[in-house]
Amino acid sequence: MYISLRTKVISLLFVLISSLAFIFNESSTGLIQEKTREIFQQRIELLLASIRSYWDSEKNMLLNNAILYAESEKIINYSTYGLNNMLQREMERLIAKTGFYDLEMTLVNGQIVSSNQYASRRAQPLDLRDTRLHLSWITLQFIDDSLYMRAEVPVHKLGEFIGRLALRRKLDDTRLKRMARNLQAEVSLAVKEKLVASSLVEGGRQALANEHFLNNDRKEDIFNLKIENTVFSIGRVILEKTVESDPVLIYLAVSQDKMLSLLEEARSQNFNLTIWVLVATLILSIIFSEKVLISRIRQIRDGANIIAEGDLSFQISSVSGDELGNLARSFNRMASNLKQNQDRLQHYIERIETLANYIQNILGSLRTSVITWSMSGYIETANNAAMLEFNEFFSELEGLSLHQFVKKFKSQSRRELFKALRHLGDTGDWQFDIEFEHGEHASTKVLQGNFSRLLDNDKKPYGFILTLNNITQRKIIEQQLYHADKLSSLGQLAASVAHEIKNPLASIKTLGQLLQEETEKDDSRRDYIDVIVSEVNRLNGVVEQLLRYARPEGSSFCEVAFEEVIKPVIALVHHESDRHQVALVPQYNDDLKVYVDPEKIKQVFLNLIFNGIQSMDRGGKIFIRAFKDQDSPWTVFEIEDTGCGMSEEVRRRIFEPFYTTRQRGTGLGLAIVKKIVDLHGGKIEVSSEAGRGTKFKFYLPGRQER
Amino acid sequence: MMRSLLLLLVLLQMAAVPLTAATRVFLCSRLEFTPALLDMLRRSFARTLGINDTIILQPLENTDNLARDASGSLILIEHGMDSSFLPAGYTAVNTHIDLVWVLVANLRTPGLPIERLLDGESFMVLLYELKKQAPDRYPWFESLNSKVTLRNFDVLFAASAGQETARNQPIASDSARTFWQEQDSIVYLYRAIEEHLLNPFSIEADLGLAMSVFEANDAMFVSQWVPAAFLDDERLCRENLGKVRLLPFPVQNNRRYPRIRLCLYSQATRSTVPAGPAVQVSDDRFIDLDYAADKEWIEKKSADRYDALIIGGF
Repeated sequence: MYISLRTKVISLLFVLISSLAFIFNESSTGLIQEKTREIFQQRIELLLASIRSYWDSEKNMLLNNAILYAESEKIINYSTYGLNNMLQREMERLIAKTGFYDLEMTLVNGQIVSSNQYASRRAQPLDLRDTRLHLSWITLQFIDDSLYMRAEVPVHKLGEFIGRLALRRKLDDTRLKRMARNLQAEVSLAVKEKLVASSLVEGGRQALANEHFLNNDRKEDIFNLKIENTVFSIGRVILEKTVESDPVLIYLAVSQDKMLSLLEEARSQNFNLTIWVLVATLILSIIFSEKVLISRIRQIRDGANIIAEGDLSFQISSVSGDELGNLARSFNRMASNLKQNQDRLQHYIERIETLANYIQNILGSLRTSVITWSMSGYIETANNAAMLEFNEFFSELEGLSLHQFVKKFKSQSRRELFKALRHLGDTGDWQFDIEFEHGEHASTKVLQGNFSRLLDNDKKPYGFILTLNNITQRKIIEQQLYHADKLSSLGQLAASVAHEIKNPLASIKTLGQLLQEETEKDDSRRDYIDVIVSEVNRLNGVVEQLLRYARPEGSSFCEVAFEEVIKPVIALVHHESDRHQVALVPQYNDDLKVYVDPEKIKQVFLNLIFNGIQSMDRGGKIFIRAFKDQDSPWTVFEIEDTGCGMSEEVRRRIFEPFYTTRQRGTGLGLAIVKKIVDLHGGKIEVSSEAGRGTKFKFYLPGRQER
Repeated sequence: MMRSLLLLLVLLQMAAVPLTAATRVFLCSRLEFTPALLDMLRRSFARTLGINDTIILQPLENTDNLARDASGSLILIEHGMDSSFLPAGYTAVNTHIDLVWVLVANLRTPGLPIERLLDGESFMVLLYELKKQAPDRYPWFESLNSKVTLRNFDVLFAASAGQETARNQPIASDSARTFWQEQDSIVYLYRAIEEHLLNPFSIEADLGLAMSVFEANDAMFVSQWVPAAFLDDERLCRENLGKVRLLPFPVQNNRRYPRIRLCLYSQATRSTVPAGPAVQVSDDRFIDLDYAADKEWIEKKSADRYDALIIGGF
């Protein structure tokens, strides 16, 4: 997978900075958490410490109010002058909407007037000797599961003690909610085992009441309490005692929600800050990587592309002093070295190309086929001669395996080739002949081969070389020489034999003719004598043909119209062809001229046409064609019949003297044909297919080539 | 559409005017008008004039802005007062409201029948009985800080004695007499305080406080101003004073009520004010107070009389 350098650099920077940001975020958040909890704990402790002073201020406020009311002129006058109802009304008015529970005036005579009682009541008259009557005090009263704070002050009129005024505040939920607002903490009061008042809502109040009931050990401490999915830090202190000496506990509950929300906010802010830093870092990384890194790397990359495209003269212009500058300098040095090496390499390549061309020209100019194999058995190179030699079978030699290469060879040739290959490492020259058929008429080509080892620069075996020389012509000549030699001997023998036979045959013929003359025609012996004379004549013809074949003859070449050659032949065989219902079909141009010995060529056509007529018992056609081959100097002649054809065995021996398939043939007709064609420097080919006919094709050279 | 809405609004406003109409009446008098007194006066005024509108009584503290404030309003002026301060166009209507100064007795205390004719001795007996029931409390309360109250006592004692006005200095008290037999109002009051029958706080009380004390049931007797019409039907007082009995103050053989008259003035264009009795009819139940004489007494003698009440030593 491709990942660009910029992506890698930015990703690396991003990962590094995000890791740092994460660590910073976590550590700072942890520090904030620790500090916040510490501050929160301190706040609880501070609240617990300050609750006493707040409590004192509450008491002072109550006392001050009581004093204020005790100094009220109306209170004093109404108390003094027995206007109890007015006093009650005034007290009601005074504490109306103040939150105080009641105001109570106890007169010297024991009359008690209270703001929340309809009628005044009477108690024992105050003992004016009691000096405590002139004191002010505050007490806590626990009455009917309710806690009251009571401030009591003396009331004087013109310095004379007239009674005591008591101001009470019920420490109920409402008052504690007010306290909670001032203290910014939930406040609850407990006496004995009861939670008498609380600023908490019902669920929290119940939970705290349970906690107080279970842990009513009256110890001051700080603990956590979960109230309706909210964790509260709760501090507990003993404020003071009621008039019955029961300790009054106050619980301060501070929800940790705000702290937790603060922590969450801090975390969120840290996170947001981190995100912004990351985004800024990412942008800066992109800019930095673009400006400082990527653009310069891109410059080097473009330079590399330019060099890759072949312009080795390129040099990076702006080179700074940092690592990328060093890289750019190295790049420039590399480019310079590449340029020098390229020049040197170009020189070597040119030399190698010259040498290779030279070698290629040598190989291409060779008439010997040169084929090299690698050790793996596949052809690596083949020169032009080899390509020409095998182009009939293989369009391309390179890449062929050895087995594919030898597939077309005759079996004997393959054996010899592999035998030579097995003896490749041996000393001595293992030459072998390769024979294979080629061409339209499956003529045999003979190549003389020789294997040699191919070594690399370290003299180690790299493959092997096969050189092949075409010796087909040489083989033909050798065969012809052998044949000629054989014929020559045969001819001499036949001539001597014929000469010896001819004289007795003349005597036999003369005597036979004498007998014919002396014998009547109706004599029964006359038929025998006629047969003797006839057979002597036939024998005499055979001897004549034999002498003609063996006789060395001179030639008389001239350029004649082909028509002058062929017409007398057609006229001569016309009678015979008609007898065998064979149509002669001449196909040639009227202006075709040939350079031949006319009489001998007539003998060739005569023999071949007669041969064709005799192959067709039920009639047929004989095509007589003559034309100039445009691509060669040869004039081509074809005699093609639609006869019975011949077998391969017959075809191979057909030009041998005395070889015949007919009962009364001499076996010299086609041998004479071949001799005449050879005499003209041409060549003759025969192709036949059993049941479809036979075609003789001979080539005669033109005048210039002869 | 808009026209229809505007027309509807105008009609509604016209229909609403009688519902919200109020008769504003300015009061010019020597009296301190307590809320209870104002309410009783308002009801009496409405009955007298047959006004069904809301009546707003507003005591006039100064007359400087009267011309501006009283436009379209009615004005009640105590008989005898100088009416020159009235704005132009205001003329007297033959309508008046009488206020009488009475002793209001609280009937809520069981076992204490209050006769309609209470003499000084019976009054004293009642006070003692009440004191006996509640020794720490005072059965009688007066607004002695009010110069009008002092003047009323003075007039009442003078009338009982057949004098025009009381003497400048209180006469000496005779220890052989009970307080109710005293001839001088100040001595009378002083001795009642000394006897713990009259609340000493009365010296510092005005009419309003006295009414409040009475309403609070902290005193069984208190002197108050009430509309004269209420004398004939004490039930009219219940709304403000509870179940009470209105008595002529039981000084010696007194059977009369000091009375002041508030005369109604209206702008000439106002036609809704029905005419009342044209002239003051003499009635032996009342002692008609003379505004000018009273004012002179208040200015010249009230301070000394009040000091005498404080100092005592008769």
